[in-house]
Amino acid sequence: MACRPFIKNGSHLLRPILFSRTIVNGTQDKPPFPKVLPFGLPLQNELSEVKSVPDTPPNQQAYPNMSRRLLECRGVEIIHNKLIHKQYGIMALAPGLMKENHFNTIRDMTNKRIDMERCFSIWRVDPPWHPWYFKGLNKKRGAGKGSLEYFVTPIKANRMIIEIGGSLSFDYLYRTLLAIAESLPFPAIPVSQELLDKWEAERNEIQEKNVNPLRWEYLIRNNIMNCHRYTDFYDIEFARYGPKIR
Amino acid sequence: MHSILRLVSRPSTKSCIRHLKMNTRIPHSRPDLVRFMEDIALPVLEKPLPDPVEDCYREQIKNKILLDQEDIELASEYDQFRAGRFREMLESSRIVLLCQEVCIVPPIRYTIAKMQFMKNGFTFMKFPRIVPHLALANDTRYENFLPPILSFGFETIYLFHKENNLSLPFKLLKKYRNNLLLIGGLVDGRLYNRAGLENLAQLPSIDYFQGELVSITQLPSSRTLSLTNHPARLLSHYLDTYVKSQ
Repeated sequence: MACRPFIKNGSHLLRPILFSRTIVNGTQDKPPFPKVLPFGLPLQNELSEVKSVPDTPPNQQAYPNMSRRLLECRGVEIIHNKLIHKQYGIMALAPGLMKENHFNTIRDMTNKRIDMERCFSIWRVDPPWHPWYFKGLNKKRGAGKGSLEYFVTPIKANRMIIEIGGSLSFDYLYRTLLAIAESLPFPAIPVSQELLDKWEAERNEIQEKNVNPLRWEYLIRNNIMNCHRYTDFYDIEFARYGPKIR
Repeated sequence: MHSILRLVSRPSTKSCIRHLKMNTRIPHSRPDLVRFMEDIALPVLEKPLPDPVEDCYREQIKNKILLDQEDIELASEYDQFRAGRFREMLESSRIVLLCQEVCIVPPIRYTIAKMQFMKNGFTFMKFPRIVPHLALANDTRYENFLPPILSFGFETIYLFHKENNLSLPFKLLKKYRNNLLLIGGLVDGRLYNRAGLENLAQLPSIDYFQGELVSITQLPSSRTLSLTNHPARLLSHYLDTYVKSQ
């Protein structure tokens, strides 16, 4: 587009209307690019902010304290281990606890590194709700329970942390999702629906073609070779998931 | 529930926290019985036995040559030109040595070796696999020459010479053994491997054997001539001495 001349001699009212100066290869004069999203994508598709402190119950002033309850991390996730939108996500491989700074890190990284005009992302974990207490340094045992420091979210193995979908491919997103997964305190990997289907098919194939009649669950549940003497309550309860889940 | 917890042993420390991180402590090893049960409960899958006919070495070579036949159809005009040149050199030379480049030393040594060979009358050429494959594809004379070329690698070095003297190339190859590795060669239309070439080099040249043959065939005739002339010569000698004494 050629530059038009700026009229010096003329009516002052018509000057900007008829002959406005246009700049070639400029960035500030141009109108904003029209936002055209792929079909089906919501407008507000960035990760929302997560509250670090949950609301107190209505009949209490302060949030009540709770025991450690690490049982909520043990075992394998059986409900939230699938992808709702059947696209991509980050899956935890081991149990752990997520704090406020982990949530903020994930949120910043996804919103800045991934193009949210071509993708959307959602949380698959609860905001921190579990109160975590500490007694303080160099304190003796006793004299009451420790005070509340912050809140955490317990995560089980195979849990989905965030889910991402859109018009980008897995190869394009993998490196970014890996960097986000590395920021978590437990081992996590980016997954896609294809990978999950592949692992599921492998597991089913092994189960069908397994010639060995002895199964771990059968051995533990039926106290073969008096193994209950050496096993735990939770070894028996988690026997259905395999010998590695304790 | 409460009664069961009292009877079982202390819960395992799999999901314990150390330095505010989970699963950083090495877990206690399981009792031997439970580890034994883990091993015997592993899935066992049937593996199909390999077909001995398909795994035979000769079948593999045959399939390889058949598959490589496709490369000839993808050859460019430059490859065809080079194949013609290769054919000319092969038919006009008495020695054709196959070598491989050893890339341990810097490439300047390779050029020095190349210049030395060329000074001594050798034609030093480097061809990819497709060029001799194109040149000798449907030729029954060089049927045995193709498999070693196709099994070596991507590029081999060919040394052509018009004389039948093997001592000279061996001297040069010994000097540049860090650059070039001799694999085999063609001498007067006969294929030899490295050991065969070494044995051949130790033999004297064919002219030596031809001279010996000629001398052996001429020996009886010269011997009979000398035998027939011997009494006459003796007689003349005695007569001379008698005359002188008189």
